[in-house]
Amino acid sequence: MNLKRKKPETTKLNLITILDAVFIFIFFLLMSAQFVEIYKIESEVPQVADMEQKNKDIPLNLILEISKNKILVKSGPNENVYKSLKYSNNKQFHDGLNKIMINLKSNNIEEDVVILRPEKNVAYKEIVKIIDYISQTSTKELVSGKNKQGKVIKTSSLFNKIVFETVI
Amino acid sequence: MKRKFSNFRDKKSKDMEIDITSLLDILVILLVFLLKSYSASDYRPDIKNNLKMATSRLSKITTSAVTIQVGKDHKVWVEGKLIGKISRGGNVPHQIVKALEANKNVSKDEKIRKQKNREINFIFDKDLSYAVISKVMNTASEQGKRNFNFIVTSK
Repeated sequence: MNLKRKKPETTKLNLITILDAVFIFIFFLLMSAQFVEIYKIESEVPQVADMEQKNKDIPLNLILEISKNKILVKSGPNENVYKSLKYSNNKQFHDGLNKIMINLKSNNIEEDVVILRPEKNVAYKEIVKIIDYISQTSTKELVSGKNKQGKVIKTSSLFNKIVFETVI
Repeated sequence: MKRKFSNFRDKKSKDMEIDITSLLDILVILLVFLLKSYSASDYRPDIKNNLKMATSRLSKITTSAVTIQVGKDHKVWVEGKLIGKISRGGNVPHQIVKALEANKNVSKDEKIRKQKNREINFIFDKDLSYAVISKVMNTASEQGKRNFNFIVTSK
């Protein structure tokens, strides 16, 4: 009796087809690769329209007056100053601005428009940085608030509809 | 001779085996790297030299539209073509109007045409002042552009 075990035959995988597919995939990805990641910040030109006010709710009318040394957060139809912040290009300032926006958003959960009013000498990079902190929560935490129907809404986006007031 | 030839054919040639393990390793690495840098956007702007884009945390995918670039030296490009320079008094070169007119979308689909003709992409140098930016935006607005996209890079 032959008790010797038969040696298992080693089967070789045919990798030719998978290699072909990988090569095609690499070429496709090489063509569509973007080595500089670019994104967009959307803004709309303000439009004036005659509309009848259906409900008597006071609109938030959030305005940010940006100058080189301070930011005025205004709200309401009479543009009352809600907060005044001394401008400094550091994390503490931007986090403070973000907290104000979170507070405003939780009380006006359905509002998403912010009007920017920068002074002429403000640099573009500063405006973009401010937009960063007013558009969404800095830590992506969720803000919750009740809408007009009393339903609780949770969102991480703050005031992401940017309007530059000076553009007509 | 005939015998010699048949002998040659009868010899079993050994299959040459190539070790492709290392090649596969490289391909996998390349694949992962390319997958990381894959972008679904069809928008590929030709960024002019010396133009430093602003950085942002926001990550909304860009869409193709007429692009205006303004450098630190106030030079203006429309669709990659140098148009002129914004003067010290803040006057935007009038050629910009012609360039925007020439680059109007002529799609047969009215909806697409209308939407594309309302949209414009701005690439501003990060150190530009708002005075210059607002001038360019006003000029674009006068040409019927209502939706502005500010192109930024990720942080």
